[in-house]
Amino acid sequence: VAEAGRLLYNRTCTGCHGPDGREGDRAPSLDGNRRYFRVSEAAIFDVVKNGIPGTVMPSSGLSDSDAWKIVAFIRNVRATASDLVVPGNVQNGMTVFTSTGGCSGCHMIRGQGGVLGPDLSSIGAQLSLKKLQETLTKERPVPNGYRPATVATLQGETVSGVVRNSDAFSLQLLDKDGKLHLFDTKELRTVVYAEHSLMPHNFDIVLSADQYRDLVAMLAVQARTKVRLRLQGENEVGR
Amino acid sequence: MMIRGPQSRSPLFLGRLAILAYSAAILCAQVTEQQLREAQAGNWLHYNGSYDSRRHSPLKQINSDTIDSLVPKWVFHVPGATHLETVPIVVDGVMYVTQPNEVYAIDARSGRQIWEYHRVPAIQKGPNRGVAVWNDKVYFTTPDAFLVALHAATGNVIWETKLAEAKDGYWSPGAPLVVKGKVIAGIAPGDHGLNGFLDAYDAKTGERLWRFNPIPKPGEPGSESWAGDSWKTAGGNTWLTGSYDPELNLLYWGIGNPAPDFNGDVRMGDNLYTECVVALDLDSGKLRWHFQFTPHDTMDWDAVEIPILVDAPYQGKMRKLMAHADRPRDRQVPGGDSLRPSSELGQRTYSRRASDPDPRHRAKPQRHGCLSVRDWRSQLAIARLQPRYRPCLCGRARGLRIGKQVHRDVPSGRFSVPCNRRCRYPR
Repeated sequence: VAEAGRLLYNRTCTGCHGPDGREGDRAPSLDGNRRYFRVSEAAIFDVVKNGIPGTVMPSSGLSDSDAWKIVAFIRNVRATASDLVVPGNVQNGMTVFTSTGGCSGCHMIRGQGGVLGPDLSSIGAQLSLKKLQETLTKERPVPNGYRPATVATLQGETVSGVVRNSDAFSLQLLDKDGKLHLFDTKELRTVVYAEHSLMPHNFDIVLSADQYRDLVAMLAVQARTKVRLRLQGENEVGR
Repeated sequence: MMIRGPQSRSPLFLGRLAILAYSAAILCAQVTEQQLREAQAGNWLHYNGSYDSRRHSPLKQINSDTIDSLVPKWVFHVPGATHLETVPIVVDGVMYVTQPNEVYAIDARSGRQIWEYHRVPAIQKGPNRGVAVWNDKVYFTTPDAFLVALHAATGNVIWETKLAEAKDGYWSPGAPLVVKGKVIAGIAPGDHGLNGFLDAYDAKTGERLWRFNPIPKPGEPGSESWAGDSWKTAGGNTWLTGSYDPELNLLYWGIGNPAPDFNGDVRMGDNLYTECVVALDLDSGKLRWHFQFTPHDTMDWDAVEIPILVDAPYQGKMRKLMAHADRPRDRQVPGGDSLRPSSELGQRTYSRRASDPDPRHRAKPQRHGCLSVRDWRSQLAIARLQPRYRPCLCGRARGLRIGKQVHRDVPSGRFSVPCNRRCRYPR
């Protein structure tokens, strides 16, 4: 249904919106993180069907059945990875995670793996599929708490790791062995932050196409919570 | 979030009362079995401070000379906190505090948060009394009756195990105790007629190793102390943390009240092992002995208070003693036929069935309530402590404020037991 909706959308809506729900010349992207998006199926259906009075968003004139297909597509575009059926072999993906890909050196899934990077046990419920893929293939800003740094103390000790937290008075660093170092900034001679994240972003190159696909599929199903996204309702704009 | 007091950087403060050493960076390492046993000064590795539950720090920097120069160094606001009953656990400069469903790891010197864990979806039930630590893990029980193991450095969930069905009404507010790679965790609430238990889990995997049921099933020893089917909704929960003796390899745990709390008519008998301290073999969870403070309790006396283990000379011999602060019984306990309370002015002695063949069970003196000391090998009461001060022990005292406040001051040999003068029952 979502795929039918995508084709329908690309035929019908791309006069203003961009293809596949991206930003268009005259209308916004539908897959961003805007907080004022309509989120319920009913609200999206209403807009597709009737437009937004007072704006350039027209009523589409589609049948109910077609409008629902577009609703399905838009929901799909905005879904987290775990909401989607992502092709690939999850079991093989886990093998890539623990061996070939080397991911488990830094990341943990359900208690297995390293601690330097974020725990990925629920990553499928946190990121959209697109973001998930970008994380593996594109350089992205270093998230808070994971900035690599090397600190030198007044005693001449040098420790490298990621800075989990810092302020003017203290700094908490997690080293590569998963040990925490707590510093008072008065004890530190230098703190040198690295420019780039420790996270490699070339998995689409270093892995085979199958391995990459399986890895993505495995990550996509990692969702620890079964709680559905918040219930839909009218007037959810500005939620 | 942290608010730094303006005084915190004053030279006076730092010079006079640097509570935590400022010499070098603190390295958070693994907590070993030996550390847990030794319970060194500078760390606070157990809910009760040590396996013998002395709940007393040997650190000397805060004393009667320095107390007036204490100033706030930092404040950590636990978001949305209502009543915090957590005991901060400190491991090499990292402090772990909890509230229901949440654990926070804090840099103890600066008050900065290192990580936080939130349980989702969360059942709102409180309080939570804190974590246990072992190796590189932090253990925590939840309002939905799970035992969760977190990575000590990051808060990553290593494993989680269901203790009991939350939909039945079970939840777990107590701090676990880790002994020899076993996580010992208890459950609440007995007040709702849910039968308690005490569990041991493999600290590495979360696999359950044994379960002790304080309420015996028909045919088991002690089952004769429950009339009819009353054992099915009997209470007897384990909501505070117990003690451990490495020499004897025994766990000591206080068992809570029978249910229903105030109506004994529907559960005639002594209601074992509610209102008891039980001694369990650590390896098997088997009951070695028990001592019942209040047979057939109808006052919700809840004998969960923490057993303090003391090696002390008695009559010329070193003895293994246990001090237990039970809630004082200032009035005769009303209730079933099996009870034959007697009261002497100022002494409040109390005895059970005169016909009890076991002499150890016959007399249970409780002089001014607060503390009794027993040889825990023979289970005989060898001394009752006369409190030095008795402001709390009015004729109508509600009882001890059960909680985490009993502690023993090792050098002075004094016990202190805060009490709560809440006269709940009419004279």
